[in-house]
Amino acid sequence: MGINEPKGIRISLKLNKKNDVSIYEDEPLTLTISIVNNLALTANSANAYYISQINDLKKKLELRKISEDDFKAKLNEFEKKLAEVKTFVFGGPEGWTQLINIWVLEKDNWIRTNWPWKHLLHHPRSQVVKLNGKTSCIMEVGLDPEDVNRPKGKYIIKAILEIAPNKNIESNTCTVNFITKRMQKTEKESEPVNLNLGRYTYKRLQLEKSMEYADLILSKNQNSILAWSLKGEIEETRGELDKAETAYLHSIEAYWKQVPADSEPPISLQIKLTRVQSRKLFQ
Amino acid sequence: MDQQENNNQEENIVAIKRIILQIRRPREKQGIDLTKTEYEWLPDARNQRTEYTAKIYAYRNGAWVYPGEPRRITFTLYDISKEKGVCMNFPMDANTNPDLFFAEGDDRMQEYNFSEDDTSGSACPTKILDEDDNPSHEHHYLKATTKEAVTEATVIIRCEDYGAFGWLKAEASGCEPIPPREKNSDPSEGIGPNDIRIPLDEDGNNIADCAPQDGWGLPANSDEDSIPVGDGTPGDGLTNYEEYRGFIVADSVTLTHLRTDIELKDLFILDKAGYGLGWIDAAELSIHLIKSPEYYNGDSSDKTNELPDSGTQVINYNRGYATGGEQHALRLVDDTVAGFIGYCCGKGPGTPGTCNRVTVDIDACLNPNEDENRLDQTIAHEIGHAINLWHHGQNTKHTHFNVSSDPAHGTTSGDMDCIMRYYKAYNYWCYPKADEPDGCKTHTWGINESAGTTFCTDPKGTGFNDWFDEYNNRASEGKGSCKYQIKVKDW
Repeated sequence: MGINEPKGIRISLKLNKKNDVSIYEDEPLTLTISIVNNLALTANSANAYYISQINDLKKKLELRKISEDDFKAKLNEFEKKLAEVKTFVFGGPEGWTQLINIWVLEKDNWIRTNWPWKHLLHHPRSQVVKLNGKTSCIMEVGLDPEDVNRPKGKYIIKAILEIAPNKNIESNTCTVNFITKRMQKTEKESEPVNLNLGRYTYKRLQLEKSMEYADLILSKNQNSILAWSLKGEIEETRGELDKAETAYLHSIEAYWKQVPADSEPPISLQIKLTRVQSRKLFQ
Repeated sequence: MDQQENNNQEENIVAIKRIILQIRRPREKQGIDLTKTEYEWLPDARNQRTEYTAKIYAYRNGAWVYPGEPRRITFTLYDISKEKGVCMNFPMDANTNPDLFFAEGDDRMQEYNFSEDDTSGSACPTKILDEDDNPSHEHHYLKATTKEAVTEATVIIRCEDYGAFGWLKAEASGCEPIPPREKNSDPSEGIGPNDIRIPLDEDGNNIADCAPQDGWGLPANSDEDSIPVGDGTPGDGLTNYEEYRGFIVADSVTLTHLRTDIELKDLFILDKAGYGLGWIDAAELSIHLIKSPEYYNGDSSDKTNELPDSGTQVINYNRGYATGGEQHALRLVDDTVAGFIGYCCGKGPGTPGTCNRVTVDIDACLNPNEDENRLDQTIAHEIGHAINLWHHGQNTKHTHFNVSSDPAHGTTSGDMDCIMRYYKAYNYWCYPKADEPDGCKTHTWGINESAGTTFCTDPKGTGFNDWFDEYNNRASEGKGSCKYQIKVKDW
């Protein structure tokens, strides 16, 4: 696979977008792992100008605006300034996410968790990825709310990527405290909590459940931009394009009700609406 | 009187004659010199120790001859830089103790008495890049005198700043100064100050002559970086001395000290989101990552339409000598802004000083229905707003045939391969045409529209925006040509 030394790769771990969290039994835990080739990222930026100059030179040579000797001399000058970009390729038939494991600290020893992790998403979608500094790898897994197999108590966890045989890269550590009680009724009925549950279940493709959360929010607040948007996404995933379009139009309408008329249109919602309308036109 | 007594008497007479001769001989001129700083020497804040040697000579037959008469030698550091911290962005709340001082605890300095301690303020950091790489110390002595009379003395100077500079001289009672000499070489001729510059800096800009940031003697406060050209503003907000003194960055995951290039415009980013910087390399800026908020004097509070809190997110917060002003760094975070896929929060578009954070909404970008390039394009697009880039046109509310459409010269106009252009945001662009039912004629991009990967160099519409000459969907007036709008300098 052409693996180099894994120097320069950073793995970040977050739990519900934080380093330390406490969660109730009826709350989901989302674990996000991102992998970035920092060394290549900074080398790419340092090289970008010289690469564009080299491309210009090549064009000039093609158009005979520069002699071959001048071309070679200048090319040599620019190439000397290029920093090495080390890229890493990893993955396989089962996908690159299989190379990542979550570990937990128990009695001073790190062991692989056997917690009931559920896959939520990964990016890129390919099975093999090339970490070249221009794109990053992101994976999300979660623990469902109310899952009886979830652990209880406080844990320190980390992620390990086995980028090549016997070459591991470790993430930062995070702390999670699984509280052995449920959220209070007022909290459970709040919009942010239901939105979080709605998004989580949407990622788990539990579309009925997700829709229940979106509807619950909308039953209390007809102008929830994010709930309408979630509803649109659910319908779009179901292939109900007319319903999705309606939901997105509602979210845009809700947006305009809440911001001054001269504000910037909500581009995210606009993109979603366009996507659905486009799919309708070309289906 | 026995033979032994005779011998002693004769020896005494010889010794007395020698003393008389010495007293009668005119007293020899004595001189003291000092070794020069080596050309390659660059200051390093991590307990760097450098030797300088002074020698006392006698002047005989028109030349300085070693050794001269023993004397107590005094070394004095003067006009020493007292920059805050150890480099431009570390540590916060730093003291301004002298950046060069005598290493009192060094085993090689046991034969010295120290004076002129110039210590004040908070303790110096003991960790710069690694644990205890700058061991703790209580004093910053600027004067060291040998305890005994000697003809040669070596002094150890400790450095505690990546941009340290100053002067050293050696004196001894009754000695003329001799101009400095190269290490391990013969003394210079004649008389003249033996004061030496640390580091070697013949052009006097307080930047080591061997450092590329010296620019062959350019003024220390120059800021003329020219790559990329951008909007034509020279510089990146960091002067030559600041680029030389350098920054602690996390470009390779571990912390390193970096002296930046005075020709390349630099941009510093704290990637709190952890998703990388997408396609921002297309801006051709020299980008560096910092590890945590302490490397830019703390995060600004989250604000939507305001400038960053005063003094926060400043990459040269330990500035002092030869500064031009505050230069800011960016903070990249994962956050949800209702209705947006990403957002540049602050008073931009403008330079990094106008923007307190760049946000990307990971859930929106990585939605399974979304284009897979959306994340990398969005990160670059939003950072673009913090380096002075605008959309190709105003994003106005416009509906046509009840299908989403963008008016001509709007956000979807211009070069279709530009990162700053909105893609897949509307199905059509409209151009005014009186004989059309709605007063608009529409033109579709189709479903093959893809994410822009570069910053455009021309406002002219390309691809589906290049319908025909009369209706080329150019970027609006003053917009487009994004590559030539890039600006990072805050002052």
